[in-house]
Amino acid sequence: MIRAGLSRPVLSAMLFGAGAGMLAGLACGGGSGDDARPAVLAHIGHDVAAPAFATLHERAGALVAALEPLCAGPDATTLAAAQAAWSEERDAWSRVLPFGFGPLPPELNALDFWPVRVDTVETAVAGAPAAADAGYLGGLGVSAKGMPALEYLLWGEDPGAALTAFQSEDGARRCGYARALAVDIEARTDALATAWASEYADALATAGTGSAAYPSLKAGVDEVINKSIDACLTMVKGKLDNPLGNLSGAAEDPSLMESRFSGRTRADLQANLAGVWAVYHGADLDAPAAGISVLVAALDPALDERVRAQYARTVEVLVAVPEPLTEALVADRTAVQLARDELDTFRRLLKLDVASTLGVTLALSDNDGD
Amino acid sequence: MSIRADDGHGALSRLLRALLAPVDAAGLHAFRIAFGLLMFAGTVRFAARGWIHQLYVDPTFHFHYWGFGWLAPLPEAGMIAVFVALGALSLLVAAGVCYRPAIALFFVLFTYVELLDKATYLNHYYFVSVVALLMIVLPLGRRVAVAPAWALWALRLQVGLVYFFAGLAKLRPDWLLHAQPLRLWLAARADFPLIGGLLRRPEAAHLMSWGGAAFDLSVPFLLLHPRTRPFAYAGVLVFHGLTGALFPAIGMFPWLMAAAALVFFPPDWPRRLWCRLSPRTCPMAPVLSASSFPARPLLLGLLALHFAVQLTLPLRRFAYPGDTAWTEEGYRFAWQVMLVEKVGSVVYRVRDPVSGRQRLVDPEPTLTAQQAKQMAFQPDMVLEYAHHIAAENPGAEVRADVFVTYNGRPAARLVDPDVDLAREVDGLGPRPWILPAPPRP
Repeated sequence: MIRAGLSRPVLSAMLFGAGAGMLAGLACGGGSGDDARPAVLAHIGHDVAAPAFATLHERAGALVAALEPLCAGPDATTLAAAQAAWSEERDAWSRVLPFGFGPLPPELNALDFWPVRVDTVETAVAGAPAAADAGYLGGLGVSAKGMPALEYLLWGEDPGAALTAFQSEDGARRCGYARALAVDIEARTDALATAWASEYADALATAGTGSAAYPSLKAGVDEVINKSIDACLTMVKGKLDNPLGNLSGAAEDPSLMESRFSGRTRADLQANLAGVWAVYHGADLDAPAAGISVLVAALDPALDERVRAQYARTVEVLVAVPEPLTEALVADRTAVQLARDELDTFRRLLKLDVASTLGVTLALSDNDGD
Repeated sequence: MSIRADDGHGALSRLLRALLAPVDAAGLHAFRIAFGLLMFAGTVRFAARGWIHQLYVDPTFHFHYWGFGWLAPLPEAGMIAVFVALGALSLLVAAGVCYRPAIALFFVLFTYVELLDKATYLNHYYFVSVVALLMIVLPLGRRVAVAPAWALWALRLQVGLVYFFAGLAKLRPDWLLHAQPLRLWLAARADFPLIGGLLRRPEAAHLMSWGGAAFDLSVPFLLLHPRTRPFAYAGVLVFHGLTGALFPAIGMFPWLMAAAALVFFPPDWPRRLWCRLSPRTCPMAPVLSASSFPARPLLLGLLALHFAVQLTLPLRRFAYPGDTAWTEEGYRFAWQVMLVEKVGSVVYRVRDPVSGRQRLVDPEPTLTAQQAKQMAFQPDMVLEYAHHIAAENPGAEVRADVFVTYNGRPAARLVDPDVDLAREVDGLGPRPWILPAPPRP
């Protein structure tokens, strides 16, 4: 009988051969070439992050340029032009919120320390040389510089206060300090844009295939999603819960709002959300998805739809809150709270549903102290 | 006092005779050596990764097991000393030197560490504690050449129960019908060498789910039968090797189970292997006397109690209402292995009933990453942290907004948001404030 002739070694060899054959067959039918993650990370690095930082730097240059005429002849027109340039730069800055990794963290406080400590800024202005420069700024703490400090100088606490100050006897020193802040912002954003263009976009795009920063694709995806979640947490907790008094049980406090002097708190939040959305959907909102959405839709199309619906709902509710948010906070707290709640629902979708579906290892937020 | 196994006839007597029969202790020694060396490696790994500080020195808050609220970590030097002692004791166990005091102290210290914080619970840490407890009564000293068969069977039963209950736990719709959570986990491993692309396919998750359940349920029996044992053990190596490679987070578990499953081989397997590899140095087999070891009623009673507990703990989940993989009631110490993918988010609402003022408390900043991750979906930990908040805010009402995703379901509330958790008492009974598991869409 044939069966009787099969010794144990022969049987083992047959089983081993069958196993190896099955494995080879499975491998032929299932290479990792259809993994969309490399393309998504490359898109986020090269088409979303790098251009966003390039814009940030470009607008910082425009801001420096806008301060020259202001300092040469401070009037309503030159001040309005400088304010407009600051707002443009602020919009670009708000859009890079989800890229709080790579080269950004060391520059974060120096670029965006808020709430502004008015006394610290005034002390820095009072002590500034006639032509403040990087050397003078280098000796100051982060609370005296960055975009929020410059915002304070360009708007002041009351309408008209900034122009009056720039036109005063000591206005030249004040404007020189403002210009030095803008130059500092320009230099820092230059470094960021260069780092992303020359190195970091590639680091993300090559995750798992030689990237020094990301040894695996999962590490790259984890980073991108965790930072988008962090960005949402910053919006909810740092930018809305704090002024709403939700964390302290105290009354609403508009002085804890971002961009409160320029009255563009809501605009910042909208730009933050747009930045996160660019990571999720992709750079071109009119084109098919090329960001994280591609990965989510492949595994759970219904979840992708829920994320899109919640994003739309969040934008709708946020836009419905009248600007300036500092006034709406007191006059229509319910509307601000509703915007906060919708943002939080969007955050939870990313943190729970999206992260779980994509197998993301969640990291604690870097800005838990906000 | 002792009873002789030949005192009587019938099935019980035959069983007793079989259990008290002398067997070559070589297999038991191999198990002891493997266990000791793995524990040493595990202890060194634990320390090298900085986990002593990360898990037991740095945290300012710990999640306690019910009834063990009094247990606290030692100061830094003390915790380091505990782990140094664990490493040394592991080596003593491996060497079989001062065996019984060494394994007893190992059990005490290891279990102490595991009881310090619920957030660090792992099934294989529990397995180590249980096996170490069992090993205290096993005659595994290095001079023991012949041991009673019950020693081997006690280990086989312990290892078999782990597999069997792990398999039983997999007989649920999520695992069998929806291939969850493997479907989620495997999809994230699309860059796995050779078979990565395949892992993204739902069929792969279904195949591995059914295969995993069948493996767990059958492998103890297949390991017992001489004809199927070699193939079953090869299956053990492949199964644990694959899970170890796919899910590196399970750490030492694959090694531990691969070593533990060796107890199913004949008691003299190390000697036979040695003789096959090196016939010239083949050690002599011990003389197995015809007479049985005496039965010690106290020892047999303790073993019976141990296994009664081991049978009861995994089954206690059936006494709780609802889906216990969602409620986590009766979930620990029950071999519920790799059954859930959960991510949670917790925010507490703390209200002063006098002023009516309410504020939000995010627990994350005060917890380690591991604690924050675990407490976000485990109701008893949510409750304990609520009590912690209440203790810091006397008289305050503490409610929680807890949202959890569970095996691919949309995130849903885990805890009744209207219940004042500060007033809820922890215990072993069902927790009515846990909301039902969300249905699968």
